[in-house]
Amino acid sequence: MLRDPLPMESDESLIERTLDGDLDAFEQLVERHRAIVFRVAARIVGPGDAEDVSQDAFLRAFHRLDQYRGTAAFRTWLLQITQNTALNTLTRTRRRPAEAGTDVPEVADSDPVRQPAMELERRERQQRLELKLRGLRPEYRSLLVLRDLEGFSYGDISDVLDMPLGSVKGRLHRARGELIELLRNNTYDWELPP
Amino acid sequence: MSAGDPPADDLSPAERRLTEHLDLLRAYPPAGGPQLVGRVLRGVRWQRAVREPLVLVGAVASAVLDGLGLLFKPPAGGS
Repeated sequence: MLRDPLPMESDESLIERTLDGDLDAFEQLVERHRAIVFRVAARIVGPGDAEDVSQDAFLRAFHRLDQYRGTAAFRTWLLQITQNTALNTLTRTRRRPAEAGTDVPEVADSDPVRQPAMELERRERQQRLELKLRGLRPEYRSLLVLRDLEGFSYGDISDVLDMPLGSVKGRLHRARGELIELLRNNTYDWELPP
Repeated sequence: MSAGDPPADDLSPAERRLTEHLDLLRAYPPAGGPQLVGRVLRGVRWQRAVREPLVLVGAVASAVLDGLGLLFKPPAGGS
């Protein structure tokens, strides 16, 4: 007879165990949240620095775990740290590839024999879009990533970015507008209506 | 999208088209490797190992400085 799988241990319980010195519990927290932390980091700083930012964010979270009050979900708190770590990295490296939008690097495997044309075109569009997204000012980039790519609620975004709810909505609108303008100024036709 | 959030109908035609483009990024999210967990845990273990001795050294240094400060404190009320 098949048994029901064990219920997943809550983040709060894992946090308590970590605070008691159990590193296995922290390992489970990292395993559970590494995908979203990496995605958000990669979309803010780019794939090259995403792993370092993710590692840094988890280490900071570990050392501040006793400051987690549980007023928001652990994931929200962790993404707040991730977002701050990513922005610090951007400031440190002073990288803002806004003007790099037209320089799309070669796709990794561009052999036309092995890659159908549609797949090549899809990857090129994806790379162009990622570059344009990273061309936005960091604050707008974070908003678009959390809302339009990760599907966060306005309330969660307000918590992660430490921004009033009304500002989230207004700035998100402006962020989309800025990205639309960046795309319109591109040689690639994104077929954006006026 | 969460309850209470405005429906997608509030978007302008350009914003709606942008959302369609962003579907592409949603469909192909960047993915880190499983090695991240190992890197984080190694960092935690290493930092935990050096943290306590460093805190101790800091406390001793602070106490020594306080002591020296008392020894070489200028006399009160002197002008």
